[in-house]
Amino acid sequence: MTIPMRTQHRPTNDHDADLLANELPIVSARSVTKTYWAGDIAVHALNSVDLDINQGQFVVVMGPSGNGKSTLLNCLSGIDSIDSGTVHIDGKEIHVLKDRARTTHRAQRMGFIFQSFNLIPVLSAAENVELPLLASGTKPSVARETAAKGLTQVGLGERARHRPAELSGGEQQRVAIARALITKPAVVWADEPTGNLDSTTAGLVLDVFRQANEAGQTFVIVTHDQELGKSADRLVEVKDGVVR
Amino acid sequence: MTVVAIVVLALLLPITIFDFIRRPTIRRLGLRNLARRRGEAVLVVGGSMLATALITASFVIGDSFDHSIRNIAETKLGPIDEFIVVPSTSDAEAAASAIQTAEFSDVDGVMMLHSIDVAAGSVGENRVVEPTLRFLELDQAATVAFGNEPDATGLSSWTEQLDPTEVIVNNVMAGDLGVSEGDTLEVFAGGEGQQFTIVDVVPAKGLAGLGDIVGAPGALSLNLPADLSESLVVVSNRGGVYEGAERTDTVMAQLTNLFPEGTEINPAKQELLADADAEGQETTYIFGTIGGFSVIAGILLVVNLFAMLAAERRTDIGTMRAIGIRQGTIVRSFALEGAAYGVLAAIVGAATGIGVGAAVVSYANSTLAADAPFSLTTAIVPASLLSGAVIGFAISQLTVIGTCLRSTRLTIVRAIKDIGEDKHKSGRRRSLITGGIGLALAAVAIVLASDVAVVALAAPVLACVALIPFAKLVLPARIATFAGCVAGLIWAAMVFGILPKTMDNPDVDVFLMQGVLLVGLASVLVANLDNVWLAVTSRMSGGSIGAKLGLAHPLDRPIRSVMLVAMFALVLFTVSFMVIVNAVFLTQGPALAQRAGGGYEVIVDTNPSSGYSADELLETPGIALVAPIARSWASVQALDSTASAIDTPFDDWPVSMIQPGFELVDPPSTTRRDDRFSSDAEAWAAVAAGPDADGTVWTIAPDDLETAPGDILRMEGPGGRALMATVAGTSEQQWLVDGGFFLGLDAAPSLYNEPLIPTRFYASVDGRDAEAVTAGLTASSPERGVDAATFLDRAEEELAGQDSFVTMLQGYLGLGLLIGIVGLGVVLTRAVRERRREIGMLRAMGVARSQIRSMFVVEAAFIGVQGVVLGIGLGTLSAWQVLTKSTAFETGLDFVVPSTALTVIGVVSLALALLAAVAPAARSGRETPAASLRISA
Repeated sequence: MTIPMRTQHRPTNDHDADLLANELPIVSARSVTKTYWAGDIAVHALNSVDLDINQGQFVVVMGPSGNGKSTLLNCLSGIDSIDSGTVHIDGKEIHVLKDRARTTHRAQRMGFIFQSFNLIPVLSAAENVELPLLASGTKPSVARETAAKGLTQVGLGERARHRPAELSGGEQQRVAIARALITKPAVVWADEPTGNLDSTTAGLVLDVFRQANEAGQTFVIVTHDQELGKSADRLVEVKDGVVR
Repeated sequence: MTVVAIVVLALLLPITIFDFIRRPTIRRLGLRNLARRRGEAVLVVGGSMLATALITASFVIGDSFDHSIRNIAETKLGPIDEFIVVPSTSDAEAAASAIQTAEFSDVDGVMMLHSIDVAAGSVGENRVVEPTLRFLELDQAATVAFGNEPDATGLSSWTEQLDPTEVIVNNVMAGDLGVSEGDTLEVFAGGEGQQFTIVDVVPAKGLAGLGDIVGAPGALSLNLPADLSESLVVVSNRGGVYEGAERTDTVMAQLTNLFPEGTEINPAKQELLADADAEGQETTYIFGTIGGFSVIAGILLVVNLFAMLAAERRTDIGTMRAIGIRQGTIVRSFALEGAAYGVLAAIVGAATGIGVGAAVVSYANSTLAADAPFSLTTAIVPASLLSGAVIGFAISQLTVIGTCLRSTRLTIVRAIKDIGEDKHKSGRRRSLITGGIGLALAAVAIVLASDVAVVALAAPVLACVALIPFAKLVLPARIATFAGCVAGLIWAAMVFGILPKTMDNPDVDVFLMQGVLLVGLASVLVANLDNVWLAVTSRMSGGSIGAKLGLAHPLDRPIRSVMLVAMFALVLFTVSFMVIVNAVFLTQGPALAQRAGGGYEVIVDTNPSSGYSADELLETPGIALVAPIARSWASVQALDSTASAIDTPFDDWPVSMIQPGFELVDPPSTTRRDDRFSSDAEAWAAVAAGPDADGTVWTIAPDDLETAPGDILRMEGPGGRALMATVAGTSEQQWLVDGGFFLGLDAAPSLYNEPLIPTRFYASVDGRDAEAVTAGLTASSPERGVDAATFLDRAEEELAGQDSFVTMLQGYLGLGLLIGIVGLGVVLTRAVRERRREIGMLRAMGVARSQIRSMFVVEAAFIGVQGVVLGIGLGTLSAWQVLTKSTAFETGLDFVVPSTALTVIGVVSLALALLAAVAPAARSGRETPAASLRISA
């Protein structure tokens, strides 16, 4: 089931403006298949998936557990390999890129948020947030300053020096969101971002997503959260490895 | 140690064996975890086995020394168990007859022989002369029958009595002189040469090893004055070469009863075997204790490995605890897993230890002097191997259980959610209790044994550390830890200077304790300065992600980092300490020579049979003044203040008997001197003069004995005569020339049955090159048995031997460094797994694989640099303290830092640390980010 895009968003840079002008999808997948092996048993996680996601869309991917939602996110974002097919992001076929180029592309154009936050436990909140900036070559002093602003934007300016273990689940997820958004990536991939949060905190997270989306960033969110589903520009359902 | 290990295993293993047989859950948990990651299991076994290898190697080395020295019993004595020195041939015949008549049941052979110290040489072109050899005159029939074991005599092939012009020689001498069967051999004794035909060359064994040349009775002695040959009666005990010595006590008692008081009866083989056992145990102790640093490093490695295993399975453990499995059960599953690792490690370690021990023994043998009385061969004693394996296994098992008891104590819900423990919850109370116990232990130790070096060193340090939890009540934690560690460090580093008497002449284990304390405290201190390292690295690296993360991990886990750093630093501490001590001693040649010889530069040893005199030596160009010295030995005992009871027995010591005039050349300086003498020369003159008007016999004693000027010593000669000597002073470094105790020659009749002939001469040189004078002396009259050397040569020869021994120890410690390298490699390999999700996340957010790799390299470099700096720095500090501020070694040493050697050690160690990171770094980030995050469907 695909819901038509409701709003047109402001582009985040010139490249995005070009994409918009040419109406090219920012993410384009064709005939993507992915099979896992559990011992001798083949698990067909993705079966010839075709999917286009346009710049600025707020896409929510839903479906039963174990049907390939997370695999779809991983394969589309390039953090997992595919068996066949193509995935273009920003017009680049990411699975043929060499690791270094793909990594650079991720650093410059993508952000990730996961259910279990995946903060680096030995770094403080500010240090976690500044990591993507440092990875994309930002000067350390600028990165630190930007990270502080990013944390302030998610309401954690006072918790910048705390380590993940010293933060609540909601705070950790907000740090993870700040980290994902800090480079103003064109696409933000989120896998169950509210899965570990209470409804109030989940609402706050959704607000942050929405603000970023209104600023032109594309969101692809895998979730079981019906509230998130309701707020989507477009709802993608995955069942038995097939996008419906 | 072995007994302790057996007790530990006896307490621990039955539970594990019971679990293995009767507790399927524990067995499954333990063994399936073992098989889960076989590659890493190999690494754990590899890391764990190194301690066993070191312990086993120390046993193999000790056994080899023991075995090789005991082998002298075969090569130099054969069937001889005791010998009796008698004045003449007729006395020898009477003595032998008396023993045979007595028919002692423990004696199976008696024989008389003559022993003559000779020089001998080949004849003709390229003539070679050996100045110091022994000529034995033996009866063929008596020899072959002696001891009922012809093979043991080494002369079983001897079938006919020799003609007076024929000799048999051993293969060692034949090799040295380049002579063989049928050649003519010229033998020099009493200033005359006599030619013999060599009729056989036999292996140096038994009597053919005791004597280099064997001739017929009277072949040489009949042409010599009686006092130039020694008449002996040799006795063989029932049993083989080694077993016979077990009857020596009985036979000695019977012989002592048979002969008049004062007869010199020597239990030669029993003494030799006892010396061999002592030497073997001493070698095992030295290698075991020096290797102790590496064994401790190995223990730290096992602690780290199992702490990481427990941390990796924290969620599993939390879940098991949640469903009702008790902590004890989980610990027992770890114990079972550890036992499996431990058994494998013990087997592999014992095998590796044999290899290491054999390599060390082989190297040691290559450094032995050509005239050493034995050669070193590797001896493998099954009981020792078992001991090495058992000790290694016990250490490993104890460490595993201790570590897992600590690691499995967790909050269930936090473990399941993989959230860190709340350190503030019960930590403070526990720290205070631990600190209180530590303080109490330190206090008890100080009260009961403050004069014991190890206690004086460790107890105050324990008190400093135990005070830290209390200091934290009033001070910020960082400052309290800093203050406690600094105070402990200062004490541990300076104690040799602060308590010189208590720390005088310490055992090797004191240095082991000092190293462990210094390295442990410094490692904690460095870990406590995490903010400093972060700031420094951040500034130096320009905010690189690799540097930031590489540092963040070790700083976040200070205990693990402290153990890793300590593992590295401990080994480098030992190596640096030994390199410096050795370097300092290698520069001491001239000082040693001066202390041993004073103003005398040349020492000349001659054959007693050569008749060489001081006058002849004085005629040598370049020799200015000569002091003749007669040599023997005596059993020495220190008497108490009433001079009526023995206070301290010092056993047998060399005795050098000097004559008036010895003091005319600046004599060896005394380290302590009786107040009655105003100068060293006056003290030496009193000694040389022999008994004074009051009948007092003065002696200069070796400095390394517990004697003081004014002490009265009882000295007993080999024939039972005794005298009382008063210590006029003590002199250093006499061991260099086997000087022992100095007495006046006029006192000799009070101590020895026979008159003594000077065979040693100290000489001063008239300004010419002493080396050239010495070389000329030896070359000019080898047939007189003249063996001349400068005191400096003797010192440098001794130091070269010491240098070889230290090099050997360093090679042995190289295995310890391997523990550090392997440990770091294993820990980093496991860290790659431990941080899998984290690496996945970093990769997902665009951190390059090269930056992930650099994270591990930076971590290895951080640990390596700390280990190198602490190890070498503290080793240098400790060596400086011990060498310049204490009496542990010699006094008045000039401290030198062998900067090139230390730089090489540091650079190589650091390079190896970085090398250890290569494989883990290469593995990191190989997976796709999704696989690392485990978020795939």
